[in-house]
Amino acid sequence: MTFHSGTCICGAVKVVGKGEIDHSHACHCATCRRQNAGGAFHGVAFKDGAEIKGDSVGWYGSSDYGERGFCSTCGSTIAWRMKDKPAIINLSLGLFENGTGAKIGSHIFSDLAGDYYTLGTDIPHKTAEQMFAEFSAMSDT
Amino acid sequence: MSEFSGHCLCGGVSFIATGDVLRVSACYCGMCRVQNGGGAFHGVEFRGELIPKNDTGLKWFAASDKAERGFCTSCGSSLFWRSKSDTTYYDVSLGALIDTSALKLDAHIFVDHKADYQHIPESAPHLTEADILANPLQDIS
Repeated sequence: MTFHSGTCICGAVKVVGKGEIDHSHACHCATCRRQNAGGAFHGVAFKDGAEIKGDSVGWYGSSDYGERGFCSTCGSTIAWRMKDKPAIINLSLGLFENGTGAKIGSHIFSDLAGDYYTLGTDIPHKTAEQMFAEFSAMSDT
Repeated sequence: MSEFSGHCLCGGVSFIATGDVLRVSACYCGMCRVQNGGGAFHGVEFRGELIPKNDTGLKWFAASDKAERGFCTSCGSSLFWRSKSDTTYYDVSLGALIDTSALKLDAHIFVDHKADYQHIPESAPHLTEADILANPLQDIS
């Protein structure tokens, strides 16, 4: 199996992405932007899951369905995961020095992007409505 | 003289940023990317005073010998960057501000440090590290 290792700025939190990359995206929702200095959260999901190690990781429940992991020593964003299905997890692409080789597949929650920047049109955009439809489909399975 | 109010995701940190706006920028340096979900630090660079209204959750992490990064230890929101030697030079996350309607990016900075997966739009000038060193807004050495 392929393993991708990453770390936060201070090194207190280490992550491992297991297996091949399933997908990656840039999320522009207001919650991601408020957590990530106004820009998108670039998340990557792996086919065989992810592991997060380190005592300094904190989790913040940012909505009814999602929570956000961060390093409480240096403030680095670590991950987003679903509360009731924590195996559905996106690690921050920023934690991987070589970027894992991932390409960003889509801009999600694109209609909620900040008014101070523009999105590239080289990859698909998915609106909040489209994303909530995808979440519903996941909960049904 | 400008004034902007803002807060983190959970409200553990709220503030008023005051002073002269030097530049609205998106920084792609390695540390900004690692801390901020693999994206960029989108911020308003100020010369002035950062006034905390609630700093219950605020922590400053010494990310280098020149600068510190402020974040909320309760929710992990990345909020500030400031020069260690001169704290009147500081950068505030655009994602934390309540009203960004008057703000547009003036520049993408440290673009030569961007990750392979990033595509930087041509919406604003691109400045490399060499460009910035040749014409610094502020000497933080």
